[in-house]
Amino acid sequence: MSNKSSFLEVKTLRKSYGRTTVLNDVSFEIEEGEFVCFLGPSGCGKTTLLLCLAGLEQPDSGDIQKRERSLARIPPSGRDVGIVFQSYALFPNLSVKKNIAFGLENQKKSKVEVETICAQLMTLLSLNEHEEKFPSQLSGGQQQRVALARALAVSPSLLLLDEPLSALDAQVRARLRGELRDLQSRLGITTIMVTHDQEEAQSLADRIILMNQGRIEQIGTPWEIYNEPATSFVADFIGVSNIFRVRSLGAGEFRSDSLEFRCPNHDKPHNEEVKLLVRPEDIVTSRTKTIHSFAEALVCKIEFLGPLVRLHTEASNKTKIVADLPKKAFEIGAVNLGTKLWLSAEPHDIKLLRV
Amino acid sequence: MSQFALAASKSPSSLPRERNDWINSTLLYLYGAAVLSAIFIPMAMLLIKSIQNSRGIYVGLANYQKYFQSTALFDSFYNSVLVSLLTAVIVVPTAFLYAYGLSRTCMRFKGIFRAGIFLPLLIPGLLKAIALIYLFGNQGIFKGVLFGGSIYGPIGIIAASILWTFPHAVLIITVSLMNADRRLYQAAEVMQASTWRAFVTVTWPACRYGLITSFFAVFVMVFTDFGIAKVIGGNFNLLATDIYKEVVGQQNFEMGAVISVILLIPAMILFIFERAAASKQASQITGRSLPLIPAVHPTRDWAYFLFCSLILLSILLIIGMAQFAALIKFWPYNLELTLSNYIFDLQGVGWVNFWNSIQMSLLAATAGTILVFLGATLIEKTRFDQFLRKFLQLSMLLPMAIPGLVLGLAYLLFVNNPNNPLGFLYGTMTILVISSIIHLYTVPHLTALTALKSLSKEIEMVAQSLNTPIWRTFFRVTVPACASAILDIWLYIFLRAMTTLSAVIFLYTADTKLAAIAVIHVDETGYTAAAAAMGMLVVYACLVVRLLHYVISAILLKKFQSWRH
Repeated sequence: MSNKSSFLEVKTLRKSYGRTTVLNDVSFEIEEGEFVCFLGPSGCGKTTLLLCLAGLEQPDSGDIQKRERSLARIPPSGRDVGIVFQSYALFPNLSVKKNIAFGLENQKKSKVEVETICAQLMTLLSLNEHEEKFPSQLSGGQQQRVALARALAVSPSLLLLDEPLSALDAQVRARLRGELRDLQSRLGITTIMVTHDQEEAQSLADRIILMNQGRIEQIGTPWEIYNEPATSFVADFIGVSNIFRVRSLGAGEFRSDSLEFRCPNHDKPHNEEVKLLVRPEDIVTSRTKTIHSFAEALVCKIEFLGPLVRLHTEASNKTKIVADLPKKAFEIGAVNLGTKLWLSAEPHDIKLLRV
Repeated sequence: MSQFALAASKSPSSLPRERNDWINSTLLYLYGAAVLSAIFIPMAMLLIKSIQNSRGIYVGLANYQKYFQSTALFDSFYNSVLVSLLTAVIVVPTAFLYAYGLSRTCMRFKGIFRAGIFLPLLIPGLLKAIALIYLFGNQGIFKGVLFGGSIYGPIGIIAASILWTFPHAVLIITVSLMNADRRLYQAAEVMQASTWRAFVTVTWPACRYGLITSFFAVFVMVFTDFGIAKVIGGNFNLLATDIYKEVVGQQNFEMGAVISVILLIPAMILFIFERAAASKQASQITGRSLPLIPAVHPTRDWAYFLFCSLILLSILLIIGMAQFAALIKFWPYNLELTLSNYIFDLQGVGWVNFWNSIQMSLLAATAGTILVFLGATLIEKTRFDQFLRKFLQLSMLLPMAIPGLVLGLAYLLFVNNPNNPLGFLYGTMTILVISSIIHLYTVPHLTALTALKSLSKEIEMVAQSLNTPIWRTFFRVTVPACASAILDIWLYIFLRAMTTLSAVIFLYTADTKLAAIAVIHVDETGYTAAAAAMGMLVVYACLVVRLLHYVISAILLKKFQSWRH
């Protein structure tokens, strides 16, 4: 754990099926003990990437190195990875215990050792009372834990999870998310999880690798990905966002019809077209124009989301802008459908996106 | 993601092969070579024979020319189409009603009706024909019902064919009727659709391909069968009986080959239609539908009960008649009961034929099950050899399209070829076993595939990443998880091997004569009672095995119920 040199290194990986490019020049490094999420929409190549790491799929070019050793010619069985699929793929005719012991029996371990490891894992994942049950007798969450235990039994150096939580209902998912993270940090096992759920990735991962159409859009901590999105795709995919296509007037001023932004921190040459991002929660509303106001807009819809109130507004040039007000800042009756408000954002909350 | 995941499993172009993959590939090639040569080499011999004269000299299409010049072809062809068509037209609607009663009504004694429909599968085709003769023949009990018409000829063939194909049609249609989503019917009801409209918009689209499939299946079965026509057909010629007459009667192999090819072509075409309909049917099954629970509807339920009882009683009547025929001294003059018909004091026929049948069927079922299941596993689970797997997949459908009689003749030509190093197989039990397995290959293969596909593909991936040798996964997981399908395959091959004779009629010798063949011979000599007795022996054996299968399945089910839902 002390050695922080890269544990896994992926270099310019490419993969296509016929004309469809699934992985396009994918490179990244992962450190030992890290929890990394591959995040992206359906078809972005994240599962293919995971299968490549497991050796269940062969990239067309590029290399994968683990501890500076190339894995290219090493079959799945030699890669020392544990894998958990979305469907769990438990052996239906074997009991929980036998499922967990399945991989151990190949390692020529003594019966006592197998028993000990199984017992430890079952305790760790609270499966003790279920050891003689069959997969079909377990709930989704329990099945998921069995699949996890089975993968961990052979103590792999890398754990690969392919959307392990997405088949579960919301409450179980939230609980297991916590358990999973807890388990990972206790065991210190390097873990990669594929998911399309941004909330899941944000709550679990040390770092997120965000993918789109076979390319990596951004690599960063959940904080960086949310607050400093590199591209408008990332900004759009993570959270709710207002993205404005504007033209630079120089000296940190940007404009598009009735919208006016002043952010001296982004100095762009005159007349350059850029995209600006303002998160809904960074918008402040007021009755009168302030120094940071960028638009005047009409309230078209008010949504109560518990801790906050979401205003859907429309500027005079028909641009739709979403603004979130904390519950406390919202006065019932003061803002109604059709109310005109000034929207403002502080310069450091206005992000410049790569076009 | 799914389309990529699918593509991923299909084209792992240059994945490093590991030990498991080498074992898989080697076995796949061995299996492919064995099965493909067992299908294609004999069929090639048949095609070659049809363009040779009796001394094996190439004569081009002369044989065909000769055959087309005779009027016999058109008569036989017309006759074959006629009886097949009429049978299918009668069987499909009747089978639909029966299947509908089983799956969509609340009639009583459904279990009995469901089990009873399998009875005809236990009876050799010839025995049905014999029973019909006793019922409607020249001295039959119900002779008057035919108003002077004769059971010998098209009427008899169609009647016996109906009985024979009925259970098959019911099975196919039942599957398509089970493919019903309760929610669709609820939606129709909420929208106040009439019963008729619900039927037209919900029931019909879901099961029409099942009906089409069963229509083609019945047509092909009758079109290519010859046993029934042999016993009850009289002078009514069919393509299949023509082949038999040419080969067995006149030793004219060339002409037999020519008619075989002529029989093969329409059978193939119909088969392609049938597969197309069947795959359309399969694509409708989503697996996400809620099963339909029929509502109680007394009038309808009683109507179906009466209808199904009538069908089941007719089946029982036929079996009862066959049993009665085997037990009486001399029909219709001396109706005293006797067991003497089971002694078979006839030249060349005896209990030995029955034991031959048992031996052959046990061998075919056991070897066939192993071959089919291993083969299907290899085709399904090998990660490489894309092309060979696809080709095997298609080839395995072929045996169903080849009429048994044609395959049998092809095998005869194959083992009789003086240049064939496998010629020593002629006259052995082995050749009967091989030709039976190949003849019956398709259905078990599809059953095995369905069972294998129901196991998650990712199971193999997990096993791989856990560094498990292939045979361990196979014996620890695949086989136990498919146990009931394996038993079904065994039973199917055993029953069919016991009761069908088209694939073996040209291949037996005095030492390997089977019970079903003995039935024909005894019948030919006029000892119908002994023929019925021999046929009934087959029925008893099939019943016993069917019950054994039931018991073993029940035990297995109980054992595995814990992991099946």
